[in-house]
Amino acid sequence: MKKPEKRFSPGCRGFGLVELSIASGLLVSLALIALKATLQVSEVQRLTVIQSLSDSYLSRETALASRLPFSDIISESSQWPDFPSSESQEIEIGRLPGGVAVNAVLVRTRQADANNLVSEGGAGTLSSNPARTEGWKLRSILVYQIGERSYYKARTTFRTR
Amino acid sequence: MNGASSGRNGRARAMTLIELAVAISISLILSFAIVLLLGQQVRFYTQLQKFRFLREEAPQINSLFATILSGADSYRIYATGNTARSPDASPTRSGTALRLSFQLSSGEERLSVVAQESEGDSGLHYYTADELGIFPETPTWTISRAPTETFFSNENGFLEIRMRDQHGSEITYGGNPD
Repeated sequence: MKKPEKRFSPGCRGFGLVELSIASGLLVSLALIALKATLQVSEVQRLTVIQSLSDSYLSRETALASRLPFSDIISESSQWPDFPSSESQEIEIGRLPGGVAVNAVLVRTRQADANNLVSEGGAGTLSSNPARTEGWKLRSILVYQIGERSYYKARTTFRTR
Repeated sequence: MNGASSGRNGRARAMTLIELAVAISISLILSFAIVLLLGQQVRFYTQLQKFRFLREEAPQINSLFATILSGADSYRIYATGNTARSPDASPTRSGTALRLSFQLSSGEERLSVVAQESEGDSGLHYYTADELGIFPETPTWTISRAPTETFFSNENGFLEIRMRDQHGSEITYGGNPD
């Protein structure tokens, strides 16, 4: 009579090797999951930090746009040129741990309010704008990169007289 | 009894040298992997902590500044905290201390100083003067110990606050107190 074949089960020779292999496989899987989670958290953290830096830089832009004398805003040498002209410059918005500079491109332009008189860049008339008010939207657009993607963040300050 | 796992005399068969070598090698590899994993987690945590200033502290400090400055009637910048607390000191265009003036409903003026100090109890401190305008020796409270350097400046016609921490992070806020 033929002896039944023994099944590979706990207690068999070499089963410890199988157990160790399974354990190492599990450990590698866990390590990969942990690595993926780490990378995701790092990316989110970088996004949060760059948001913080870009927000802080734009707070200065808003303050400057609010404080600049009106005559400077509409002058030929204005820091916010009349749209479609614009002025762009590479700036440092802050530093990461280790003193690593974070750079971005700042674009500034200004647009006349639609109700400005024609001589002031608008389409208003003396009947729609009898007080001859003049308004300008000062736009500051910050362009920065995180990884492969470019992000745009803008602030608009409305100045009038 | 299983013949594969027991000897002729019924005793359990010992592991061969090769089996032991393989088992020890795999155990070593596993231990090494665990140590690497732990090391990586520690490094990751350290890195997270380094970013904490830019992620959490700086926005909170700025938010606090915005609240304090919105209640102040005027501000002046001084070179150091000591000069800001001295009644005869002259203000400058940039420095490490800010003196704030609050107009009370009674018409009285109340002074406060925000100063970055590195000697003794270092940190960004807040001092409130008494009704005679005299500041206490020790801070009334500490805003934060995270920034190691804080500079106030009015070079561009508005208040700019630049902060640095011990890891070299730097952030600058700008705004108006009114």
